[in-house]
Amino acid sequence: MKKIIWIMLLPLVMLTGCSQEKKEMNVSALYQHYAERENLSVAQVSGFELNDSVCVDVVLMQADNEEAWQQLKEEFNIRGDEGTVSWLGESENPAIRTQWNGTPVMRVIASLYKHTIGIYRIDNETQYDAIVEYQLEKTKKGTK
Amino acid sequence: MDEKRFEEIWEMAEAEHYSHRLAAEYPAWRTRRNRVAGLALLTLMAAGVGLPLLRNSSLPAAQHEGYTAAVSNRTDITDQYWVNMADELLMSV
Repeated sequence: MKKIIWIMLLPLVMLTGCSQEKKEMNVSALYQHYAERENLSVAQVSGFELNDSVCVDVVLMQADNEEAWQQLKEEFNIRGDEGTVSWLGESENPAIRTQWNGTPVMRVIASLYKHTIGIYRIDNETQYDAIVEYQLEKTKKGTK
Repeated sequence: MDEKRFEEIWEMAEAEHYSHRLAAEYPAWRTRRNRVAGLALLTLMAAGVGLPLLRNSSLPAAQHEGYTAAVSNRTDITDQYWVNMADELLMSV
């Protein structure tokens, strides 16, 4: 009888293992690179919804102290101390400014006030358009 | 004899390398044993097919609001904090 119980439990154990594996997300090299730093709070949000059908992956980093923020500013060539700056960065190195030409790019947004940088991965035109639309819609709602 | 007792006796017979002889002498035992094993196999197959379907059907409900998954190097900061941050940054441009 014990054998039968074990046979019946086996698929459950296997499936539990599979579901655990499924929950694991693909962590980007960008996240891994910055997550190792002690003075940076770093996160990757996968599948951040821009609308019902379009999602993007976002890497966010927040400096824990002034020193860390200055280091980030240097690495990303950020000038000034106030407001928000935004640019399209190369997918391999988001610090390098580029233009949209249909290949994957990063929408980089740096809040100088919050000492935070968000890097949104854009793989196609649909995502590019959805980000613009999201910003417009949200801003419109915010002003109402 | 109930299923439990049957299994006990069968296991004892197996431990004594007696099961083949038992089955040879009493074919009904082998049949019964096969039936029990068949039931176990059916359960296995049903679980193998049914549970993934069940799991997939429940996936949308298990998804988070506004994102699929999040990971951070800080355990004291919630996923929602980062999702809100992603939203706020887009709004701030």
